[in-house]
Amino acid sequence: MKVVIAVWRKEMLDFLRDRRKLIWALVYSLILTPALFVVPAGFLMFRTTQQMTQTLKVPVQGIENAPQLVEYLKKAEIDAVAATDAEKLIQEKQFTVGLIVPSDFEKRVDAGESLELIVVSDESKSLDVTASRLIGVLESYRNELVTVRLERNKLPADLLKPFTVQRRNAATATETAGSTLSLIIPGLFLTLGLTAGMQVAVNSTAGEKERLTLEPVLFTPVDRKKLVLGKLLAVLTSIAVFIVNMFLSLGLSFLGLVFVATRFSSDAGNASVNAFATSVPQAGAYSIAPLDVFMTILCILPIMILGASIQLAISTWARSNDEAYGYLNPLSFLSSLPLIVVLFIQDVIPALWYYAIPIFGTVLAMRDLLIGKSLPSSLFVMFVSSLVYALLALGWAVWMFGREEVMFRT
Amino acid sequence: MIEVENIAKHFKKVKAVDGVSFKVRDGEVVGLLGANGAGKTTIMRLLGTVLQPTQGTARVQGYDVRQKPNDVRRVLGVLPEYWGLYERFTPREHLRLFGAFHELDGPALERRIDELIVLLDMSEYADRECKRFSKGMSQKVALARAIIHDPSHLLLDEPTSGLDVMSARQVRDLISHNREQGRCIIVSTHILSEAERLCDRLVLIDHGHVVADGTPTEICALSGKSTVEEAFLALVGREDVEVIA
Repeated sequence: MKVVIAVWRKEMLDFLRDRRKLIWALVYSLILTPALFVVPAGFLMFRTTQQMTQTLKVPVQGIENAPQLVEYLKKAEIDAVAATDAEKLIQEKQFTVGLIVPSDFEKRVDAGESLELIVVSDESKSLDVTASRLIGVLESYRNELVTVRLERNKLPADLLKPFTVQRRNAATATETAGSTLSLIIPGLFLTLGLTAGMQVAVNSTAGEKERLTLEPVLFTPVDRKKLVLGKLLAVLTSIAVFIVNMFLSLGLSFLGLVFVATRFSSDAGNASVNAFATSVPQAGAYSIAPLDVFMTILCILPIMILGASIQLAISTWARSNDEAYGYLNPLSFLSSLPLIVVLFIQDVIPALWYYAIPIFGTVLAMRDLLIGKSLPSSLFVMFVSSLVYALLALGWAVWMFGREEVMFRT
Repeated sequence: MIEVENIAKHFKKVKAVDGVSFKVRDGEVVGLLGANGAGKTTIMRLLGTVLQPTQGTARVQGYDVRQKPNDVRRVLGVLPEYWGLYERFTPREHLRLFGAFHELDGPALERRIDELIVLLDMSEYADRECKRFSKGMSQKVALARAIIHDPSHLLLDEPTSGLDVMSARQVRDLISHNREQGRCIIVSTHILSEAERLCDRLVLIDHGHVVADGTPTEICALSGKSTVEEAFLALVGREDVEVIA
């Protein structure tokens, strides 16, 4: 065991002393990643809030036909401006949204006619919400007119609403929130588990071959199995550190988003911002047993060993760092498989043997745990099978380390 | 003692070593002499058990390289041709790591490390990262690393290659010191003057075969030449051997 720890310590020291890479990794995960999330989201929320709450100027073609509508718009902070060609003003980018009112609009509406108002907007500005704001106000004005018509004809107010539609959630709060989490957590963590240790794996095998530091070690009585185990431990440590770092990074990003959302949510009328801000306390309805949290984390371990061993075996075969990264690139692609798999498992009613399928079984088991519906039999099948796959991959890595044509392939 | 018996190593159709036999007694320095590509490094790797012989075998202190590779590596100290230092590690950390590989630890290991640092005159840079070390400094670290476990047998591949006069002298002194302590030493080199100066006996290798085995005087007598250089050229029939006086 002392030798395994000595190898692990050496790999860790070697990695940690590469200060430039370390500083870059910290800056990237703790500053750049949250900034990449928060800055665009904040800008979007700021812009949306501004467009939804500030006084909006709208060119109205035929303004003289709808004085009551103009008054109604004014109450909703929309200033109607007289225009002869509203469409032209939008095309010239002088306004973001315009309105065309037909002749004698109010007289004909009073007479009970059904007319058409045209909202002109520039659809190339996909993030612009002023047209939606104007349409929303026009629709509420229309509803008021309907109420007036019904009253005038002494008809009940719900004449046009023979029934309402309500939706009821048959799933528990844990199932609902767990289902959302199962879209994120298994995919993200399994993908990280399969690839995050790549740098240490490559550096400790192909890198050692390239720098000619491996041969002196091979002349010592160190058992190859212990050597590989030490390196595997280092790769697993780096994956764990990467995952914790990713947690911190995502946590900071989330806190940043919550800050930005609550900053703008007090402003009325911004549905998407409000939805995000109110969804945060709703997540409190989710509960998961501590044992299930532990088991969910434990599910990742065999996948980490599998990913680390495959990386070690492939990198050992490579002559140099560059060659190793070349071989491992397809693995990065394959490792994104869990991210795709999670999109399809929501509809799957799995048979027991599904849990023995590499990676897929783990994704299923993690989903079960997150929605609070896991079965001991499925967990057992998943753990035993994925440990077997992990040990096979580890055996492959040890075998590669024992082959002289691989070790001296420089 | 090291006994090599009809050992061969073939890499597909290439016969890097083909039926080599020789013996090295304790307290003796034997030079493996040959041009680049003659098979010297392959013999070193076979003796160090990192390569498996295609045929034949060798014994180090009675341990067979095929059957007891771990025991062989325990009694061997190897200086490979390429030192392979971890550039972000200090010499002291190298020695600690390789000490651990030989299952040494605690005060005994620290004492041994201090002893080697003094012996090889490395005090000035023992705690500096090896990143910008000169060839001489790196060679000393690699040598100290090879003998951290106080091995009874040494395999030194090109130990003075590329070193300045002072460093080469220190390495030669170290080899002599180890011979006096009764260690069994094989030095692989392609520098004839170096071999003549350092070794009690020479084993001349060419194309994976032993072409001569004896003291410098015996080899000169065998070839009918007056110097080892001339003898070597006559025996291998080639002139691509580096000669440094």
